Amino acid sequence: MPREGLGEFEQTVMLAVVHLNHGKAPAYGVTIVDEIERRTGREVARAAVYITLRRLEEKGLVQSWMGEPTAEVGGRSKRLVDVTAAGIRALKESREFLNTMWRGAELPARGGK
Amino acid sequence: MATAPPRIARALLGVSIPRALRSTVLRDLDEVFDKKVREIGAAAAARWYRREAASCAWRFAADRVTFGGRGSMGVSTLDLKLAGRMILKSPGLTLVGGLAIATAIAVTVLAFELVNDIIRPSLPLPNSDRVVTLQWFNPRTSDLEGRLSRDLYRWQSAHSITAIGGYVSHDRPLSTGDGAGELIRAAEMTASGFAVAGVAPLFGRTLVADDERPGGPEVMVASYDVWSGLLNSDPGVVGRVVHFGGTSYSIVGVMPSGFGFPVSHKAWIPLRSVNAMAERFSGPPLRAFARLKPGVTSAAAARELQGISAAEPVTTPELAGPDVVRLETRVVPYAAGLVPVRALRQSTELQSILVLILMMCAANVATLVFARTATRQQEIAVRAALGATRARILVQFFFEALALAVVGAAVGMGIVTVVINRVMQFVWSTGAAHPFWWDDRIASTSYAYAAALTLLIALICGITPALKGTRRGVSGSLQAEGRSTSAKFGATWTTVIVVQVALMVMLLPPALSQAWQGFRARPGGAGFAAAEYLSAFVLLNDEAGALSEDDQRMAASLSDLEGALRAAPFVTGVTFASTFPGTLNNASNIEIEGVSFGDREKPRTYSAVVAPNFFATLDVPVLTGRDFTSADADHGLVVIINQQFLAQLDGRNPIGRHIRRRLGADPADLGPPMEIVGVVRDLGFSPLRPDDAAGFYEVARPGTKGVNQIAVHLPAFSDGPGAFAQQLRQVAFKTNPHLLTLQPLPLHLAGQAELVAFRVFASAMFFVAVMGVVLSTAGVYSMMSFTVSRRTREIAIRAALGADSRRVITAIFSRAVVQLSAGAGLGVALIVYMRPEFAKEVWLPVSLGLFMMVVGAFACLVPARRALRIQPSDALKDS
Repeated sequence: MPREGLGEFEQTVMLAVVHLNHGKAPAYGVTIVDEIERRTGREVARAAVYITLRRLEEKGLVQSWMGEPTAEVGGRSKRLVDVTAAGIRALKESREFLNTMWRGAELPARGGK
Repeated sequence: MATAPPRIARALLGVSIPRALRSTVLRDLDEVFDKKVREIGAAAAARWYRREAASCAWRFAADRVTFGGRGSMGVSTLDLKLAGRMILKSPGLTLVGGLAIATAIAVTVLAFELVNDIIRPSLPLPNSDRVVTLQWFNPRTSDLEGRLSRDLYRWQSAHSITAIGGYVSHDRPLSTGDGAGELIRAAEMTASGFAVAGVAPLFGRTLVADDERPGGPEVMVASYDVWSGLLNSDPGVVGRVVHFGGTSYSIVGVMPSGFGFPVSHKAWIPLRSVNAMAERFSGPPLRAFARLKPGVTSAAAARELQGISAAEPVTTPELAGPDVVRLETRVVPYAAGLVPVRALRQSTELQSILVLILMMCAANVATLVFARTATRQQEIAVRAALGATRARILVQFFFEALALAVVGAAVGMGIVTVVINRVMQFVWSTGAAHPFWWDDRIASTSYAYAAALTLLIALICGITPALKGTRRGVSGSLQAEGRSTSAKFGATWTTVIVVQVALMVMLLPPALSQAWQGFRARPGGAGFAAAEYLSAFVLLNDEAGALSEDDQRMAASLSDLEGALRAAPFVTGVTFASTFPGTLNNASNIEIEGVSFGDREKPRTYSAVVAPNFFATLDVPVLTGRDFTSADADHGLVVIINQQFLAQLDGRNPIGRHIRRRLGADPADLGPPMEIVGVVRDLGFSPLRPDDAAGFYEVARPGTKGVNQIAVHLPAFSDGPGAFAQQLRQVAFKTNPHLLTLQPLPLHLAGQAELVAFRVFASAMFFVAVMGVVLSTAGVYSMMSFTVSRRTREIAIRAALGADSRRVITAIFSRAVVQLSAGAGLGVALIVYMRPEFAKEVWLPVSLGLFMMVVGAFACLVPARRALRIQPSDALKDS
């Protein structure tokens, strides 16, 4: 059975998590939204991120757990997120899939006739 | 103290986020909110939180619908499909219910928008939420203390504000020195007022602190309207001299279009008294405002300002002592500070009343929905048999009602858009003074309010009937469907019917009467060639530049102006009056010599004071008696009446008869007798009463106050009389440099503004009244029809057991008649009690009551006859 591909926003969220964890920064709702907005320069609907994370967790592509409360002012415990091995595989496959499509594609300067 | 997120927004999040995610999302939002409070201030952070809450609520709801089945209610796209299908399947309910909801939403949101525009507007200023009004409030008397000069001076050192200012308004003529002039409202304002507003000038400069120096040069900043109108968009306006309130000012700058800070001001001059006041609560009353620093709350600012003031003793005698201790410094949202405290309370009351009316309207639609629900028992039973829970069925009904409410709300918001657009076009076209923040856009809060109301309506219309319709438990519905004999509406529904009919009978006649009056409004000026005349108000300044109170000087100036105009080309006549036909006139009660009105209500009579040549200039013939002569002007006290007035005399000869104006409530308090010398045809007095406006024209004596409207007859002026306005202004200036001519308009357009307002109001009233009739009729019909149709088997069995069909029908009707007549009687009694003037026109509420009874009877008749036609054997077999 063919695997269901990742949507663009799903990839965006997962890659934000990958970036944050790679930089040893905690990946949770607030930082994921900030990371996407910082990298893309676009505003992101916060609810869309939470909905996507839930969906990805249901698919087994990310996992989440409650972190310890932080020491900062008003520090709260956070639901931290990481990409699972299956998630990493899915990301790679999505990239490969797109690379295959892009390979050799010459885009005309102007679209249409 | 840490600032908490807005409670309502947080509650909205609480109910809209799925349980599994709720604590995570709320925690994260709290974290961002705390950060925002530190960065952009509490108010801006609260606004961000509300926006975020609305966005989250919407997206989570959309997610539930799109990926249905996960949430606790298990909403699915099927619900949406069914809801859409139901909208099309019941076109009658969709039309009646949808229109009712549309009207209710339109009226409620319009009132909300209006109140918001007055009390909580979004000002077109940078970071406008930081701009506040400062007040000294006396909680004992609920009065505001306006003498703020000294405090304003000392508050400049406060750390919680970035800028602070104050102003006094002046309504005076502004003129350019070449005869052009207009009445404007200017703000005598501290230079810092521009820093509070945070708007840069279009060119030139704003006021600066040095302008406030006593004895400094007189300078003025002009608004865009003044610059583009009176100053003819002069590019070299900076340095030009204008005259305002007896003083010459040099223009130093022009503000951009739309800027009218503090409220509706057209020019700004420096306020110099603030620095000069050495004592607290002295000097002229001011209005004070400030711009708060980011993150500073109103309460914190108020505490700081109160602390600064408390350090200085009060020497003003009436405030020294315990009273001053009670005075509180208040820091309130900018526009709310301009509205009296009582008006704030009243606006909340109005809003509550409108929401109640909206809920009543929703309850009406709910009865229609309930009637439909009752016919769907079998469908409910089948769904239950296939495994649907009661909650699941309730969700389906809620979505059906929501679809109907959304359709209604969309139409309602369309109405709101059109009305606001029309009203603002009208306000702009008349040039009437209005707060600078008014525009024709609907505030985002109004959309949110409409959305909340839609949800409320959907809950009332969907859940209430569904709860009643599935009360037996859906599993039992299948059995119940087979042998249901009677569904008792009980006392609740009887009350609903009685109240419904009573409300309609009580509320509709006043609405219809108002609407009728507005529709009958006609422009005046009928009976003469009004389009050939140019009208204008003429004002005279005194030497100090203020409006002159010297009536003899005014009379001499008007006489000179008349002479000069008569010598001008194209002018064939000039006359003056207090008001011309078609504009709003004064109405008063009068006594007519030899005429007793007995028990009849004495009609109110309109009047105008006119120059002796008024009728000759307007080319209106005198039908009976004679016209005014110049000799009349020497003595006064003669009048010419119109035909409507003549009709009140019941055929008596009017000429030589005397009339006297009643001056107060005391019948003996009468003005001097005035002799009727002639009768003219009706020229129209008030646009509101075109047909029955009885009135008289009183001759003006030289110097009579208020006779300052001019009409210039220009039958052969090629571009129409409107084009003569500039010449009129020049002639007036040459006659007397202190004469100002304002609002020049062709005479037939002079009353148009009032007319448009009356018609808009009438249309709104009529629309609401018609919706009331339609909804009440549909509601009563469906309730009556439903109660009888539920008794189908009972009726059939009675017939099968030998009951006389006439007796059966009588039994059914007797209950309906009792309910309907109780409602109609209550309604008529209430309206006659509350509005005694309807005692004379009681036929209107009585006819409405009878109409409702006919509707109710018809609603009973159809299902009763159907029940009686059932074969007795069939009825007995089913039971």
